[in-house]
Amino acid sequence: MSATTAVFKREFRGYFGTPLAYVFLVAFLATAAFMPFSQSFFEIRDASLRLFFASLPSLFAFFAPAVAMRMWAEERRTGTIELLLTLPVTIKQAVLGKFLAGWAFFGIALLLTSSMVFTVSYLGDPDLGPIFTGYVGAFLLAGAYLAIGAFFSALTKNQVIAFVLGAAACALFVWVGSPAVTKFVEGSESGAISRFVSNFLGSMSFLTHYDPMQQGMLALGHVVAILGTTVGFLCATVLLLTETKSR
Amino acid sequence: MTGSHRSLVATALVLVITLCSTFLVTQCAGDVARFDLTANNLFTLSDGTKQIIDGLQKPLTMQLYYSKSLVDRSGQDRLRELNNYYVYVRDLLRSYERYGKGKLKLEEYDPRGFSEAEQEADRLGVNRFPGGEDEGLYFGMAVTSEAGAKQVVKVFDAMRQSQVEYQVSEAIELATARKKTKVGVLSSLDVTGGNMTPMMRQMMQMQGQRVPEPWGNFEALQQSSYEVTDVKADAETIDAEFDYLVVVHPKNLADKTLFAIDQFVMRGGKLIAFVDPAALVADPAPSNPQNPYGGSDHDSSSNLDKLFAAWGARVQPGKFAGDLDLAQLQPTRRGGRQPMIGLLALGGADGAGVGDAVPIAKGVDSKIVVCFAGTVERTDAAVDGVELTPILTTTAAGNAFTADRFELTGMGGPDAEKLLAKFQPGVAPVTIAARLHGKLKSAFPEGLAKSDVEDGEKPKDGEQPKEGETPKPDDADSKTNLKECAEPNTVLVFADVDMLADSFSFQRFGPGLLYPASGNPAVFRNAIDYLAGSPALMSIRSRGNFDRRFGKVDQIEREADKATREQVSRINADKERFQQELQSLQSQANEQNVGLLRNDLKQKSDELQKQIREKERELFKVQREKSEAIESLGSRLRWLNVLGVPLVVLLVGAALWFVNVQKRLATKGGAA
Repeated sequence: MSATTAVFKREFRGYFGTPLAYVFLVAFLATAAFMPFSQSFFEIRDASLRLFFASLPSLFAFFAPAVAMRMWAEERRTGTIELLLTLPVTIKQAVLGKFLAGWAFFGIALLLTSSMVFTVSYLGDPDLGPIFTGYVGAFLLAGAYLAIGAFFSALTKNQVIAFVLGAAACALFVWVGSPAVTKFVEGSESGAISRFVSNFLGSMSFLTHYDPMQQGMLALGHVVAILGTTVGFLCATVLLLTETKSR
Repeated sequence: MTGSHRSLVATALVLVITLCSTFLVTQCAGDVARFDLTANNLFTLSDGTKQIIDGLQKPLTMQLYYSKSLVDRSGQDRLRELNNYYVYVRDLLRSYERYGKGKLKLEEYDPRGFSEAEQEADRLGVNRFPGGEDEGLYFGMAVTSEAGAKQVVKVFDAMRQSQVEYQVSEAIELATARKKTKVGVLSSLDVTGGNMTPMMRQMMQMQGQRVPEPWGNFEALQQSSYEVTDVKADAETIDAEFDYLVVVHPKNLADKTLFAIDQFVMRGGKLIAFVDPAALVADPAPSNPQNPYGGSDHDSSSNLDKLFAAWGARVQPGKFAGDLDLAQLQPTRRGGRQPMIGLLALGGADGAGVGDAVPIAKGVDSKIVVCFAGTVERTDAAVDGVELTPILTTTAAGNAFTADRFELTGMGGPDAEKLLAKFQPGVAPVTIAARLHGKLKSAFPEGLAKSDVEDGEKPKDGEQPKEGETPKPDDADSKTNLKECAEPNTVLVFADVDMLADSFSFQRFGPGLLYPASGNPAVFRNAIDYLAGSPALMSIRSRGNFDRRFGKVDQIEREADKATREQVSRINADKERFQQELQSLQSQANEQNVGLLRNDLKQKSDELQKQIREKERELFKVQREKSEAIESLGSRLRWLNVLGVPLVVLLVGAALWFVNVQKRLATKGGAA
């Protein structure tokens, strides 16, 4: 058994060893189901999970930092990080193990929302392709948010600060490509540079990559963009923790 | 630099590299290795498109105009969806370019205020929408060839995402067409809006004049660069230059016009006929507040019976196609909703009522709606060598029913309950639209009597022809008289005119912005492409959004309706009886006996009114029960998802916690 797997198992069990995981799951499932119903899911009578998937990025922006905030901040506050780093586990393995455990936890949370799939299949004849790609997109998105949350958790000892910073960063990654943000960045000027800036910001936005998946399209570029951000933030987390270890 | 600083700089560097890589990946690999998992392959080039691109002889340029910088600077979040839609269109066009391997080149422009791109977009005719102070919002494309041919997609409408591929492929095909397709439209209604150019329309509007609106189906035809020409309803000849003749709602056409149509078909011309035993929506009775029941005097039927008879078919007056399984629920005169037996939704995901042999309606994803359509039948004297192949039918449970004018056009429109009571389910499908194919024979084998050519008027019913006007063979105009088609020809007959009307075809979102509200526009254009032999375009157009409604809810509504139909009819009958009794009672009271009868009448009147109110309450209760069934389903599903699933998770969590605690206690006990 590799060290990553050992960390993964320890963390994953840790989630379910406390009531916190269940509280989180209950809150997530209730909100994820409530959002589409509050937006007239039943009254519109459209056999798709469009409203459900559209609400997930905003939900993840809140729930992913909530899960990730204790990943490293708690270890740093209680000092168990020193203990962990003395074990025969590299920082990379520890970061990956903890991240994968959190991601698997989100996978379970998403799996439990399948009652919505049964509901919509009972009511009509939905196109299962976009539902499948929607779930793939949502899972990737959860991973990216979790990596961002983990990074901010490694940055501070305070869980609350880690949560606030993580949630703000996640929200930024959702809305960064929206016209409201590009307008703020560009002002009223327009030119080659501002066009580049708005294109750049657009490519940063998770919605740019997630929206086609909601509609039933899986494109390598979009998958790589989300996974790339995830890997980037995990690498940054490793670098931050390396500095902690060296101190 | 300390180790801490070095680490922070390295972290920042990693993040910057990550973000830059994301940007590069999005720009370079945004549209490669794509997997389209939608049921109807919305994101993949269809075989029809590939066929069109394969057939290109000369290279074409696709110029895409989208005001991205204007949208980005607008600050409106709702426009983010427009950006996403632009990316979808751009990626699709890149797929065209890739597949074309040099035959198609894509150029992208962001038209800014006072730029060359803006001028070019205006010159090409791409729609300009109000944007900023000095800028317009553009989102359209032009297909141009080196020879100077051009076709324009004026706007990519975000609500018509499923139509984008068709719009682009059609523009490509038309840009390579040698000449414009000419369509003649003969109708007793103004379906082409007077055949006016947009410029004429604008000038009339500026002068404050009422501008006749074309029907969406014909406006869309004009937008697609077909040359649409009006043919007068009393025309004596049909121009042989027309590739197609579309006849819509021909009411009492004179023999000379029927003869002209007949000869157009005999010459090999393609005819699509839309007739109707009652075009309730397309040809409504003129409103008259003085005479609200006057609508029943209005004849909204049309036919080409003389021609159809010669071709072995008929559409009988007063006979309609009905089907309980396909009927749409409509509000009734007495409140609540009931199936309107003549208002049918065919096709869609389940393909109900769509003929397989003629691929005009087959594969059209959205529902095809017909309103009190007639039935296309073979005549008793079938014509040899002429086949009648269904395009649209009812299901096997459908049947024909008869209804008189008053039942359909009385005050408040058709009476759903009465019509439903008349309907008897059948055992075989009833044909609503059909293809007639074969060596069609002329309805005027002896030619047209000269008197008809001169008078141009059809003798009215019961009117005897005047002396000397009796058509005789030797009196016939034999100049153009063809007795049958030289080659087998095809005529398409639709026994419904309303299906073409805007109410059942389009939603309008401003001038030129038409959004198909059903599969009807696709059927209309497929009919034209079928006759033109353009299966490539047909296959692309038919793709679209499946109508994926909550079938369960519709089913509950139908079952509830079935269960309560008898009850509702009984209550309504009782109510009507009481009302009639009350009216007759009131009519007995005249000035002479009013004093005598006052007490007695009042008592009876009160009694009847009480009974009527009681029946109204009963009716309301029955209708309430019907809607409650649906509301309670919605409520159950909402609570099941919002509370039920989390509760199960909570219970499982509690059970696991309890098991863990027990284990721990057991371990402690063991250790002790």
